[in-house]
Amino acid sequence: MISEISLLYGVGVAYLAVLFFIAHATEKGWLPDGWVHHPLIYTLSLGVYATSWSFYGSVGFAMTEGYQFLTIYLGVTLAFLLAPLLLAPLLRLVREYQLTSLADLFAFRYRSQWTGVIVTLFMLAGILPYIALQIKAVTESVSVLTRQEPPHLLALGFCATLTLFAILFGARHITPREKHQGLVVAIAFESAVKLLALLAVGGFALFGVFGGFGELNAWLTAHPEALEALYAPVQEGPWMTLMVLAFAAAFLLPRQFHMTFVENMDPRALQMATWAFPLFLLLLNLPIPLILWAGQATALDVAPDYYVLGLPVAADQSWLALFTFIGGISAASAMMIVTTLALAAMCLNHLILPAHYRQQALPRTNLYGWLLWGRRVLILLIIGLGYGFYWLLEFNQGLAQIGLISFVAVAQFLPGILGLLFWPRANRVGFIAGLTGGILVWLLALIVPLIHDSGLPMVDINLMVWMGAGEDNRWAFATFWSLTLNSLLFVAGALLTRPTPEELEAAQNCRREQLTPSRLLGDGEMRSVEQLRANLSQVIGPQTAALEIQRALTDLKLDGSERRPSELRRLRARLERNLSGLMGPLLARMIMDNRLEVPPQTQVALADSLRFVEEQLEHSTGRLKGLAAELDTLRRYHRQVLHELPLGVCSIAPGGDILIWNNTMAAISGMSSSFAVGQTLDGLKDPWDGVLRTFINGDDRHLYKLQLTVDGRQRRLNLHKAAIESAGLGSSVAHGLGGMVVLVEDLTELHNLESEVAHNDRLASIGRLAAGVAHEIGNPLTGIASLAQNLRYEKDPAEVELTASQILEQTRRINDIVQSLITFSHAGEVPRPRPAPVNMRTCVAEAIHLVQLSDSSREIDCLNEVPDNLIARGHAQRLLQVFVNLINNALQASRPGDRIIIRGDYILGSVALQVEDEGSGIPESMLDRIFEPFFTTKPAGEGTGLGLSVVYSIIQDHGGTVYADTPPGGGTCFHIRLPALEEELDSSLAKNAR
Amino acid sequence: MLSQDKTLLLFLLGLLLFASPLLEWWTRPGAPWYLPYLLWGLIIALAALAQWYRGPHDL
Repeated sequence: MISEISLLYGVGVAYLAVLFFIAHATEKGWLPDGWVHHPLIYTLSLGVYATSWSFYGSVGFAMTEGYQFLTIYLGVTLAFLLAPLLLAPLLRLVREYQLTSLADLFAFRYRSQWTGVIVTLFMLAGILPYIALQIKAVTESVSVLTRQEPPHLLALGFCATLTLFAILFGARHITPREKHQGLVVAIAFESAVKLLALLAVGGFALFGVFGGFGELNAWLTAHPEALEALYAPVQEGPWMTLMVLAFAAAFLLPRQFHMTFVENMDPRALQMATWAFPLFLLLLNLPIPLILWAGQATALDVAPDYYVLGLPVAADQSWLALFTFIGGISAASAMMIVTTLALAAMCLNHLILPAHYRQQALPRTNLYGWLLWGRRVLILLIIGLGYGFYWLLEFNQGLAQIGLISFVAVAQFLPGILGLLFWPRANRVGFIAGLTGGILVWLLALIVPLIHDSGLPMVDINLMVWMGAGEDNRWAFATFWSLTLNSLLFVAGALLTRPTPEELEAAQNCRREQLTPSRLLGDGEMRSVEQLRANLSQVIGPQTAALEIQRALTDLKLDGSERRPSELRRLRARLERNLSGLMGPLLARMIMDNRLEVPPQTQVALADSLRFVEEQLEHSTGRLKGLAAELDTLRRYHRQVLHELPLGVCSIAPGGDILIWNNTMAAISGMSSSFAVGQTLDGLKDPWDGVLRTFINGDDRHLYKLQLTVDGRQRRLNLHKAAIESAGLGSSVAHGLGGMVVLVEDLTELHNLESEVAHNDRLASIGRLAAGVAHEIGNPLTGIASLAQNLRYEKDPAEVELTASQILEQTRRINDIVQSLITFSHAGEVPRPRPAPVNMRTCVAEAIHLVQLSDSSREIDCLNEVPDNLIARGHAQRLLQVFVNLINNALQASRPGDRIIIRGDYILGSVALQVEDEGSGIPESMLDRIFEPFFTTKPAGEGTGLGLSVVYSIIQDHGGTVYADTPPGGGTCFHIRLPALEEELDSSLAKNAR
Repeated sequence: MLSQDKTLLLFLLGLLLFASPLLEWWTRPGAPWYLPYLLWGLIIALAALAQWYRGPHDL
């Protein structure tokens, strides 16, 4: 038999060291990620619910209250069945707003410093009996094992050791934030140990004591009173009361809240926990009746609370007894460590920090270190208080009875939590009034009698005696009256007073009904991250401010040079949430409001609203039902259409913020959507800032063929704009909507294609001209050859001189032809010069000269009747191509002896030209199609179908028009309009006027 | 069936079994000792089944 207390103490410390090693290994990444993040670990970590009360006390509870001991776990099962409606929304709130405790949650919703203070103090008072219970269970378990009264020093040593480990587990790091992966894995391990230990003892009871199922049934048949004792109390006792208490405790006990919500790494893990955690509890409780009956069958001489340990001790099963003892240490240490961490966070955020902030006593340097030490001292104090409670009060009651005092205490938060989730009208007045009423009943019905019964000097007030209730109904009485008074005051307070705007905003956040973001800074409040850092430094010191801002920037994937107003507003909101994780929601808001004040009339920027609504809807995936789901699908479809549109789309809010910047716009501009959205126009890269501002502020609704150099590349764009009428949007969400939408059409590719087509067309023309060119060059070459032949024999210097001149003349003729071809073949190459004055008569003459090089022009007259003073604005070489193509076209349609006449004049302020032939003409039905690319009436192989298309494209580029008709006498006439040169036009008008 | 409906139905079934006059049926004299665990296990199995059919975001 184990008789050495020091040995047991050593085993306990060694076990805690193993736990610490597990936590350390997890944090160092020595354990596989797949294990650490498995939902089973999260589920097992919730097993912190089962403390010494469950491990040891359940058997004693079953002995006195029969199967009512199951209510403590059935209530939890019911709470977890409601997880999608009850736990998931709380988990979302805690994660989204970085809340670290129940006090944070209530202070966030009921927006009052007093809320946090009362919740913290009451939680502290309510949980102390529970901590004392663990100390009592551990010391008494030692007594059962060693069969001797343990020294009082043992309890103190246990508390000191646990303080050390609680600090190691939860207050070791320099950033005292609530996410301790190592702790979660260690607590999960402890739960597994508890379960295995109880199952082992249960197995021993069944097979070691009874000898198997058959023998057990035989024993039960022989002792029907044993089964009767389990079933009978169910119909008589406070079954429903205990169910309600356990339902509340399932998620409101500090340790449960901490492990379920605060330490949750992945919300999806809660899915498995909804059934796996109740299964864990079922398995944990399955051996309890067996152990009880085994204890009764062997007439154990220890209290039923310790049958779990007494059974292996009596059977001299030392190893099983030691394993069971470790299970008990697991149950007690897990509860004490997690509870003290949770309570320390509450005390720090709601008692210590606000007091220091008010007195402006927050440290300016190393705030993290200060918080860490604050937490360590609080852990020490809380365990010390628990020990004090244990030492002062002589507990004459069973473990379950002490635990139930704490259960009734946390049940007082039930009305507040239901109001938080489901009743927007609930407010701080109702909450504080209700909680105070509930606390009063709890004190008078449970705590005062407990202290009095312990022999301490205390007035003998017992509410139950006053109200004539029997002692048997203690739990039902305390629970019913405290919750009734609490609820009545909560409802009355809420109905008699109005919630503040802040509370209404928080209520919307809690119910996820908010369609506009929380108060954010308006334009002009913050200009840079640096300014934000400087302001924040004044409260939390430069070092902490810099670290917090860097963390918020990393969370939002922004950098320190960020200047977009909407991103700065998001950064501020993020910062507030991060500070909330560090110092609680109220202090975080106080700091942000004091240093980065929001003007009362500041409206939330439209860009923020839209982004917020989008984010809300993104999070709502799978939660929207019916019409809302259909509308959301429609919204996503429209958004996708907008983003995939092959046109650049950009919408600008009335305040100048960019709201939409689709994929094509990103490709055209070289600025991604994530960069552009939220920027003002000033924040865009050059040249888009100027171009868009000028276009939006200008009168023109369309801007054609705009040439821009973007990232060193020439682009040719059409811009269109339209105002968005806010009246047409007709929704409260759309209040203040409106602004402008700009469409950007990228013509660069089309333009390049047209240039290529024109170039090919020129090459085709040159090919067609080749024979004529050869002929034209051949003639002067023959002449040069003859002249050079004669020159050999010419002696007369005058004749030599003449012959040389003639040779030069012929050479010049060849050069002219070659130059014309070069000019023609290079026409239209990019980059093009700026439009310049072009003398149309010269241009037409050049075209006729080129065309006449071909054989087909031999018997057709080309008459240039364009006046000398007809000057257009354009590119001479490209216009030359127009006339070459039109005259060529006319030549091909003409018969020998026909004429082609080119006329021109100023008409209505523009240059008008006609190219008319007397050829076969074009059927009326084809006139509309002749400018289409590859459209030709010629037989296959004789025409490319590009000539007239190129003409159309060049004239369009010049801002002119071209069309064809059939004159009454037959043939075809092409009409061209081109912009005239202003000065020439003026002088022409003046000449006409004279 | 919507997941919220499943949740409420399961909760109501839990109430029916463990917080209604049906208690008198399963605590009647002669009931096997494991009956409460059997009913509890049934509820857990149904909850696991409901969770199985829920979508990945359905919580």
